Amino acid sequence: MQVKTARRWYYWHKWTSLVCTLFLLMLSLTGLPLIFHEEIDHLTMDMKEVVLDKNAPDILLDSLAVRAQQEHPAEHIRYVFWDADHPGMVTFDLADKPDAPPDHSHYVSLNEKTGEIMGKPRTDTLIYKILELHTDMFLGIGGKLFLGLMGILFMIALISGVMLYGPIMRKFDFGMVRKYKSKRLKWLDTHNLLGIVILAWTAVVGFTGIINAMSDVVLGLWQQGQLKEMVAPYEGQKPITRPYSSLDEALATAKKAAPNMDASIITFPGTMFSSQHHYAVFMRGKTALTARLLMPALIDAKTGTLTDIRKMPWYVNTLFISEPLHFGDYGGMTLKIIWALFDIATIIVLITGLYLWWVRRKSEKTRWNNLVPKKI
Amino acid sequence: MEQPRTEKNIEESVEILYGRGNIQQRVSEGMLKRWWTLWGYPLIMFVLIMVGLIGALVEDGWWDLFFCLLLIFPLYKICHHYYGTQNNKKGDRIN
Repeated sequence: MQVKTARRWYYWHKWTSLVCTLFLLMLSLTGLPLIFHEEIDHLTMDMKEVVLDKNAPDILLDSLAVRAQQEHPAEHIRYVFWDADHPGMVTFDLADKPDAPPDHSHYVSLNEKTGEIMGKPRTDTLIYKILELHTDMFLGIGGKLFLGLMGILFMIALISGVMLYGPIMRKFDFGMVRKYKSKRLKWLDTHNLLGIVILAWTAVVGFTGIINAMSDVVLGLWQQGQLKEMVAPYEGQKPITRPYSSLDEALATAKKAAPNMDASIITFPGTMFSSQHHYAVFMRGKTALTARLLMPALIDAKTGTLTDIRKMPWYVNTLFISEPLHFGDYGGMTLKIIWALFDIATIIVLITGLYLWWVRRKSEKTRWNNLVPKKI
Repeated sequence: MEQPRTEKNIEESVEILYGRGNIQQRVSEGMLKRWWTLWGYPLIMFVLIMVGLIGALVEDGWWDLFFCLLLIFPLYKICHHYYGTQNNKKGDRIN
């Protein structure tokens, strides 16, 4: 690589890193507790464990809905969801309006077999605030898109870093760390070693972070695209009012239409993920991968009949796949610990990068002379 | 006194380094070796992490453990290079 080209890559690396480093540090630091959010929630929230009795009959979902409604009589049930990691438990989301923002939600988790209240997950906890900071810095969609932009800069910093790795390391062996020569060399070698070894992880987490930052855009595209097509026959009709048809019937109809799948979420009419006339029953597959992908079945919330069922478009599936790849919550505790170690390594790369920029500002000319290959 | 670097001297040096034979072939083999020294491990680490991340996503059970082992190797390699290898007299680590 010519010195001029290397210099160009250096400037890309320097400026893209400088702009995004503080935000990346915030994301890496807030990401660390989020990796273990389930465990922290378990410690901080008063949630009971379901003792699963497979032989006991299920209580009707409609009865469970009445039980959840009793906890918040003035509110509307918006979503019903099942967590694959907590079999035997169903959670109801209630809010003052069907289209209220997520922080208006109240949750009630019930035992499917006994109807017992297992807990009331809250959204005012520290971990939820950390999630908000990590997702949008409390700035809504603007904050989300801004962090997405920082993610793009981070990806450019990674690419330019790889382009610089060759010229910098061509005289040295892989993994060289000059620990005792000078602090700057030690930090430079640490930056290079960690940066190149964890490159794939940072690239995957960075790229999936950009996709996650686009989640509102993806949701909007789906609403304006597939969902609009699916509810087109109902266009112009007045929104339906409660009481709606049976939840159990809606669930049974959806399971009949997708026999090899389990229900993941039921969204009520008037919510973001449905129309004014339908329950949307989102079905998921049973394998490790297909359990991440959802298929919406629209059930008329007055007649209880299936009106449409389709696979999600590719851009929504991309979002579904990118979520676990970003959060690392798909391989149990071992993967979570590995995720945390990679995250700590990323924090070290960011801090060493900042340090190197600080101490090397004055010696730029000398450094570039060192990169010029000596003429034979 | 150091000899001037002529084409003949370079050819002789290459012969000393890589043995007699097709010099161009030897040089390209040397370059390949050098390239592999520079990029070999980064490439292996990249592939291991990608296989580990995607494998753990599409498989369950014992496979998860296997793919986690693939992900642990790069972390082990960092510790190995940072703490585990010998240092020379000048204080620089040679791996």
